[in-house]
Amino acid sequence: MEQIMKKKYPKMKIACLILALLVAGVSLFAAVPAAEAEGGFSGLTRFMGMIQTTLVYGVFYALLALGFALIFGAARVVNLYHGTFYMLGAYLFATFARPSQFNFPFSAFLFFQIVIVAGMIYTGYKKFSEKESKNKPVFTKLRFPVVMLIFAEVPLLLLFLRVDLPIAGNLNLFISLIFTCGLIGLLSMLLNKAAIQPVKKESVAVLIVTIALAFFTERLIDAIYGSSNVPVPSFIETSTVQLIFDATIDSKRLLMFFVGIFLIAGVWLLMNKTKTGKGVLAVAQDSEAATLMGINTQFVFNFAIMLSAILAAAAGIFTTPFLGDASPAIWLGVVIKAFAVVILGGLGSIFGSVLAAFILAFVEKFTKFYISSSLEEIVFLVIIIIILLIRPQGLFGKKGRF
Amino acid sequence: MKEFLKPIIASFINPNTKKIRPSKWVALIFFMLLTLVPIHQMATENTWLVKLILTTNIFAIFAISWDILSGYTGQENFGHHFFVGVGGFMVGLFTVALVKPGVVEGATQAALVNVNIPGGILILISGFLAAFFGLLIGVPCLKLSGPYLALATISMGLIFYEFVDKILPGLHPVIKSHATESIRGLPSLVSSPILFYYIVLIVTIISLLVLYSYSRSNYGFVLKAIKKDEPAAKAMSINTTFYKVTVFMVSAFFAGIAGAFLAYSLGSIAGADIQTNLGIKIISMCIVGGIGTISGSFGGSYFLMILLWSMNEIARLLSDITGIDGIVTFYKIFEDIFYFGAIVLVLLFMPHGILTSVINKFNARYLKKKSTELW
Repeated sequence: MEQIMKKKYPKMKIACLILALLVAGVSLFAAVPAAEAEGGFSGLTRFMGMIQTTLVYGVFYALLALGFALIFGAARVVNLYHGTFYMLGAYLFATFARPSQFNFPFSAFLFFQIVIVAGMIYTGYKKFSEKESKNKPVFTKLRFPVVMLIFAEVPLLLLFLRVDLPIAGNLNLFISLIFTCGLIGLLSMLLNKAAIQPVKKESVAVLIVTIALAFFTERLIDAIYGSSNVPVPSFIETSTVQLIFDATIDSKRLLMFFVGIFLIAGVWLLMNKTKTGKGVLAVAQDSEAATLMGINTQFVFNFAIMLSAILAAAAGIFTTPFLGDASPAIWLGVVIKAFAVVILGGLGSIFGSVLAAFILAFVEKFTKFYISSSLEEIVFLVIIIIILLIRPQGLFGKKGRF
Repeated sequence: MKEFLKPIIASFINPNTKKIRPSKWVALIFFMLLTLVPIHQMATENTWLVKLILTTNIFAIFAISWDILSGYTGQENFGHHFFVGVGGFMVGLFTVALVKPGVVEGATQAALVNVNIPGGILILISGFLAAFFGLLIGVPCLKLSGPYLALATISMGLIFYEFVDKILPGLHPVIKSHATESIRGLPSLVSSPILFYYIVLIVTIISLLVLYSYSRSNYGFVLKAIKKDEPAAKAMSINTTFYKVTVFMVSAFFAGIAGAFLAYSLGSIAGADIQTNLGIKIISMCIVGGIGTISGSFGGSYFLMILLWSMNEIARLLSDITGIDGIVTFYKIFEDIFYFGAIVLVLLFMPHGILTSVINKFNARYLKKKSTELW
């Protein structure tokens, strides 16, 4: 393990050390005056609160950024749809798992609806891009998928017209989790095939397509679920868990922390111990050389985007219960945070972003606990711009190709 | 001076035949028609057409000022709403919030600034202030391009939104946070709405002429060179830094002026008016019309605005005929979806934009000209 660390991430150890010293030094320095001001343990409690929030949010940002960095590294594509996977994960999970008063298996219906729509869009796209039918008029090419789409969508249209049908699946939480991850994975493959690959040569066109699709999805979700927020069920009952030094933590946060650590470790193993994961890392280093070595780049892109989407969806499922309910507009902040973490971590350094996530979470939460909670977002955004101006290649990255 | 004007004049008048180019005749007739629009209001007392064209003109200025920066120079700006917001809030602050005393719980609080700036000067000031912010953003962003510039500009827009939403309301009691109208009750710029329409129309024509000439002048050629290959342009001893910063400032100036007009025409300004989706809407107009051509993005904004408006009217008519109220609600929900759907479809299937594709096809078929290259 140590050798691998040395070989692949030579600066990792130094960076870890710097981070640890930074956290310990700055927080202790700040904890003393706070303790003096409020007397006794309150300063320490506040300090512990900051540390545990930093850890939970660090895992959260790492989970988001890991997926973002996978696509950014492997496909050299900035996928601004990433935040929407987070939002959709929370929404779909809530849809499948919410209790309903009907026994009607609405979730199965919804599942097949979405599969049909995705299939029809894909068929339409395939038909449209066929080479031999290039001279046929557009409507002849798209007749079959469009007619099928209309037939499939009449029930959904009825939903859009404000029929008061509760969108709820009443499913087991674990089954909902599997359904959600499967759907998000399919959706990400579709996104890759239909929207990213055709414009992949132009990095800016990819940005515009993905951000427009993200706004599109936001409005669509707004239209389907209404603008009121949707509560996301949690795997665990709300309770407070006692930690050392009088500090307590919300059980949902603790669950998120452990699930996140588990997923990050899983991705680390997948990337470093399996052939597929090594292929992704190889493509991230040099995609042309990887192709020459017999790695299927197309498969690697698909795999990377699917993995990243599922990670984002998992983050959505486990964080929305304590961050507040799911609302259509949450994707923008999420994608900006993931992007910022990846930039700080550095292009081409997938696990550098995990460390960067903890650094940024620390800065953000330090501002929240010791300066002002309303400045939290502004400080984060200002830090993004400072990073971009001073060191656009990030902490562990090389000079990028962009 | 003559050398400077030569390419500009050549873009209006064909130097070989000494005749005005046909596309310029189309534009002239189009603007002549626009001057006739207020007759509709005088005759029928309906204000919808004037309002529609007014809003479209303001959005057209947004679109062409985005295009000169991003379509021509290749500095893709995802935070154009930031400059719009600077202009809009400048007007909001210096006509209402800072110059009028606010009443909080019965007690009157004094105005922060005791000057009354006339509207025309205020609009110019907001343009220059936006240009100043363009300088502030443009200089540090020189090194950045592509996704990095996108992240920087999106963050700038978000910082401005946070500032407007969280810090500005603490400044004066008149400004409210978390509202769709954080500064309301703006005075109208001129007494009659028809005069306001003509002012906006003239400003639109001036902006279009200035930016079109800018893009067709030698400066514009340099911008194109920067977009195609910046190291090559540098090797030709072109000071690319100067050109990139200048175009950032010019773009911001026009966006700021249009933002000031937006605030005047809305009668209120708020953080909700300048969210990130405004920036994406501006980009969608340019992409639908054709990126990298000033006239294309101008046409694209008209195309999208009028298309959306007419779909709204069709929905209203349908609900009148069938008696179902749901159709209008349905359309209202889906209005933004059309914007974002249009941008995706056009980028995937017609990357040159609708209008540019049509013009290119026309040129290829009848004039045997090669199509222009984009992106």
